[in-house]
Amino acid sequence: MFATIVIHECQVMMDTQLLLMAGVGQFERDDTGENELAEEIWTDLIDEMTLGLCFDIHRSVKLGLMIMDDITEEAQQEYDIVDEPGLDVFGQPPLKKHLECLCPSCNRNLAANRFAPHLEKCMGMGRNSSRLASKRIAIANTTKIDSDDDDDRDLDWTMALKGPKRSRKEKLSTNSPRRSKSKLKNDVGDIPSVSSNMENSMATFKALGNSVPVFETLSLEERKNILMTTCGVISEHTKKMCTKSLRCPQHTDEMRQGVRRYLLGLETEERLRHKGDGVLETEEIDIDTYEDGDSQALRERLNRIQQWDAISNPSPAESTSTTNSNEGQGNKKRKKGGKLTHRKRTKGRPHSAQSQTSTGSTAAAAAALQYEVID
Amino acid sequence: MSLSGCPHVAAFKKSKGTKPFRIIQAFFVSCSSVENVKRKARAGSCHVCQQCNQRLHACLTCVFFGCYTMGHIQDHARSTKHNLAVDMTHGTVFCVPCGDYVYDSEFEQISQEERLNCSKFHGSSVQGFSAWEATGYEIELLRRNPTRKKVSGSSTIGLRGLINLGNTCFMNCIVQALTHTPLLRDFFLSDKHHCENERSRDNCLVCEMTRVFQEFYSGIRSVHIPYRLLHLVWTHARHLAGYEQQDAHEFFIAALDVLHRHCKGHNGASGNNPNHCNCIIDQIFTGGLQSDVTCQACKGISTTVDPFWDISLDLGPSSSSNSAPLPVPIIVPTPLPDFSLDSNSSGSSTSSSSLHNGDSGLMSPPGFDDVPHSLDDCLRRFTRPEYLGSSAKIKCSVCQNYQESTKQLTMKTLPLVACFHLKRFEHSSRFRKKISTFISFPHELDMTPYMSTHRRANGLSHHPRSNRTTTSDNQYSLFAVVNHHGSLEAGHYTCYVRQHQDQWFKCDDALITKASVHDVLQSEGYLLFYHKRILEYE
Amino acid sequence: MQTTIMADYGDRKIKDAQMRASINQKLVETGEKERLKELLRNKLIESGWRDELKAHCKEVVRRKGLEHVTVDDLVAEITPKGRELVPDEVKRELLHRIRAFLAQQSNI
Repeated sequence: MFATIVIHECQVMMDTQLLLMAGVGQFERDDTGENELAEEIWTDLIDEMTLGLCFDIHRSVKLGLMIMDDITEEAQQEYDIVDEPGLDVFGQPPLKKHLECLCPSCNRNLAANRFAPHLEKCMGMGRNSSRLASKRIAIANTTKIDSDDDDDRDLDWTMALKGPKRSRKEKLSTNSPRRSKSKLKNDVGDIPSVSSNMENSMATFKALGNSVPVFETLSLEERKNILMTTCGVISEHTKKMCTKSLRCPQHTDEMRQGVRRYLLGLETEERLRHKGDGVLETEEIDIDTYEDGDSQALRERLNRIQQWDAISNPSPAESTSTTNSNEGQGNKKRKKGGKLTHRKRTKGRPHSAQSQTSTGSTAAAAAALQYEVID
Repeated sequence: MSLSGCPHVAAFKKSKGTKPFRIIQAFFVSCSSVENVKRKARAGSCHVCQQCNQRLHACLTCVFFGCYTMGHIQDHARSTKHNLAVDMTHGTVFCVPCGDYVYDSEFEQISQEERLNCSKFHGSSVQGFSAWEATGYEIELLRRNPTRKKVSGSSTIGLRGLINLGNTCFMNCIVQALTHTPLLRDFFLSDKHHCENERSRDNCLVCEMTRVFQEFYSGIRSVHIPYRLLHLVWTHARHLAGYEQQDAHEFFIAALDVLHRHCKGHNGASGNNPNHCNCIIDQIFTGGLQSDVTCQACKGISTTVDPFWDISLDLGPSSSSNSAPLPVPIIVPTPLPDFSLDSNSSGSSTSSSSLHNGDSGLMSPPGFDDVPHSLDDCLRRFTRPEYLGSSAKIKCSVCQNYQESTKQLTMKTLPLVACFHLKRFEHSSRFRKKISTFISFPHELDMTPYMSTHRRANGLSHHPRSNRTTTSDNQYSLFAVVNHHGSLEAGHYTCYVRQHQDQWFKCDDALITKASVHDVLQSEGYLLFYHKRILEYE
Repeated sequence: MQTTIMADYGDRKIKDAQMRASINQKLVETGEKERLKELLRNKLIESGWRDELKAHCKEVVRRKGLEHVTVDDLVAEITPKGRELVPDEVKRELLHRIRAFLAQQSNI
C-alpha cells in the first residue's frame, strides 16, 4: 500500500514536474514558438522570392532571351582596364599620331589640333571676324555688275568661291538681311561677263585643293578695314596676312604698299609676280575673272558699286559694302565708314597721291582708293 | 520558342477562352480590391491538406486548389484531365502533360494588366514598370550578331580619349563629365532622343551627343575627335565665339542650354518658361533656388524660386585667397551611417539660434568671413542670410515702403545632378587672377542643411535628425571633377570621372588613366558634379 | 500519463498548424504580406542577391541545356542557395518586422 502511495506520489511528482516543465516549456515555446513561426514565415518569403527568380530565368530561356548573355571570356579580356605607368587605360602609349578631321563649314581637311582656330575663322567668329566678314563682302561686291538685284549675286559669288555650304548661307543671311538665299545654279548665269571666268576660277579653285588663302575671299570692304588697322603683308609661308600693327618691324612699308595695291585690285598679275609676293595669283579670283588685271575697269566697277549703294538703302548690318563716305552718305554709314573718312583726310602718302593721279577717275573713286594705304 | 504556350494551352483557350485565367489572376494572384484580398486569405489553402505555403496552384478548369510540392495539384490534374494550373503566387501556368511551365502571350498580357491594377490598389511606387525585353526581331538580330561587349566592372567600355582641337580641353572635360552622368548615359544609350526635325539632324546637338555616346561605348580605343560637336556648339552658342581658351563652366552652361533647346525640337516652341519643360536636361540638371527676402520692419518674407543648373560658390575674400593650400583631412567615402557625423548640423543650429535672437546686424555667425576650406563651408556661405544694407532697401509689399532687409538663398528643389562651380577666377576691371585655395570636397555630400525646409531666414530651426526619411533624398555622390591647372593666361583643364560605382579615371584630353579616390579628393576642384544616391519614381 | 502528454504534443502540433494558417490569413488580409514582399524584393535587388543568384541559375541552365531545363530543376538547386546568400542585415530586418507583426496579432 505504502509502495503504491509512494509510487503514486512519485508519479504525481513526476507529473507535476512534467507539468511544470511543460508549463515552463509552454512559456518558452510561446516565445520560441513565435520565433519559430517568424522563421517559418521568413523562409516562405525568401523561397517565394527565389521561386520568382526561377520563373523569370526559366521564361527567359524558353523565350530565347538568354541569347543576350552569351559572352566569351576572351572577348571580355580585350576590354580589361590597364593600370600601368606609361600606358593609358587601354594599354596604349600616349598619342603621337597627328590626326586629321574635316571642317563641316568649308569641307577642308585639316589637322585636328588646329581645328578650333580654323573653325573660328571659318565660321566668322572671334577677334578677326568682322574683318574677315567685311573682306568677304568686299569681294562679293567687286563682282557686282550693273544690275539691281545684286543681293543674290553676292551670295552666289561668294558661294561660288567656297561652294554652297549651308552654314555659310546662314551666316551670310544673318549678316546681310537684305540678301535672300538663292541657289547657286540659278544665278550664276545672270552674271554674263563673269560666267566663263567664274567657271575658270572655280576650276582653279578646286584644282588648288581648297587651299585658298583667307584673304583672297574677302570683300573689298573687308580688305580695306584690315589694311587700315594692320600691317597686312602676306606671308610667303602661311599665305596669311600679317596682323601686327601698321608699323610692324617685320615688314617694310613698301611691302605694305604692295599688298594694298594687290589686294585692292590695282596690280596686274605680272606686276605682282615681279614683286615677288609669292602668292599664287590664280587664286585671285575676283580680279582675274573680270578684267585680267585691268585696274581701270575695276575702278569703274567700284564707281558703279558706289552708285548702286547710293541708290539702295544702306543696311545697318556690318556687311554693308559701302566703299566710302561720299557727301551725305557718310552720315548714314556705320562707324567704319566714318572712320575711313576721317583717316582719309588726315593721312596721305605719296603712293596714295600717285594712285589718285593715275586713275583720273571721279572724285568718288579717288576718295575710295585714297584710304587704302595708311602707313 | 516564343510566347505561344503549348498545344494544351491552345486547346484550353479554344474551348474556354481566357476568362478563367483572368479570374484567377484578379482574385487570387494579383488582388486589386479588399474583397479579393479577404477571399484569398480565407480560401487560399490546399483542398487536400489545408496548407498554404506549398506552392499552391489553382486549377484552371475547375475550382480546386492544390499544393505543388505535395503533388496534390498534379493528382487532381491526372484524375480530372484538367491539364492546366496556375501558381497562385506568381501567376505562371503549369501544364501537367508537358511537365513544365508554359508561356502564352495572351495570358501574359492579362497577368500584366492585373498586376498593374494590383499595384495601383496597393499604392505601390513602381507602377507598371517592366524591364525591357528583346522582341522576336531583336532576338534574331542578336543571334546573327554574336559579338557582345559586356560593360563590366573591369572593362574600359565607356571610356574614350578626346583630342584637343586647339585649346579645347575645357570642352573635353565637360564632354567627359556629361558622358559619365549616369542618367544622361542611360537616356542616350537607350536611344530616347527622337529628333523632331528631319532636315536638321545634322544640326541637332542632341543627335550629336547620341553619336558621342555611341563612340564612347563602341569599345574603340583610339581617341575621338569631337570636331562636329565643337562646330555645333559654336553654331548654336555664338557668344562662345573665339578660339582662345574658354571657361569650362561657361561651356557647360552653354552646352546644357543648347541641348535643352534642341531637346524640345526645332518647332520653334520657345518654352521660355523653364518650369514647363520636361526634357532630359531639365529633368536631370534643373533645381530650384529659393530666395527669401525678409523685411526687417515687419518681418514679412517675400519668396521667389528660380531654376538653376549649377551653383556658383564664392570662395571668400580675395585677400587671403593666395594662401598656401591648407592640409585638410581627406574624407574617405563611407556610407553615411548617422547624422552625428554631420558637422553641418551643429553649424546650422547655431546660425538659426542666432537668427532667432533677432540680430539685426550681420546675420551670419562669426567665422563666415573666414576663408572657406571645404565645400560645406562654401555652401554655408551661400545659404547664409545676408544683410542687404541701408543702401539697398527693398520695397516691402506689406509695409508699402522701402525697408532694410535680409536675403537668404536656399535650395527649394535639388536636381538629380548638382554641379558646383567654385569661383576661382576673378575678373575685375583692374586685374584677373585665379584663386587656388584648397577647398576640400567630400565623396558623399548631404544637402539637407541647405534645403529651404531646413533653413529659414527667420530662424525656424529644424533639427536635422528630426525627419530621417526625407533626408535620405538629399544624399549625393561625387562622380566627376573638372580641374584647372596653371594660371589664367596659360592653363589647362583635366577632369576625373567615376565609372562602375567606385572606379575613378583621369581624363587629360586624349590620355585616360586610372586614378585613385585620393587623387580625386586631393585635387583643386573647379567644377564638382554630384548625383543623387537614391532616385524616387514620381 | 505518457499518452496524454503525447496527445498534448500532437494537439499542439495541430494547434500550431492552425495558428500558422490563421497567421497566414492575417498576413494576407492586412496586406502585410505584400508589404513584406515588396520590402524584401527591394532589399534583395539592392544588395545584389538577385544578380548573384541569377548567375547560379544560368549555370544550372547551361548544365541541363536550354531545351530541357524545367522550373523544378532550377527550384531544386537554387532554393538552398537563395537562403544562403541572403545578407544577414536583410534577414534580421525582415524577421524583426515579422515578429512585430506577430506580437501585434497576439495582442489583439
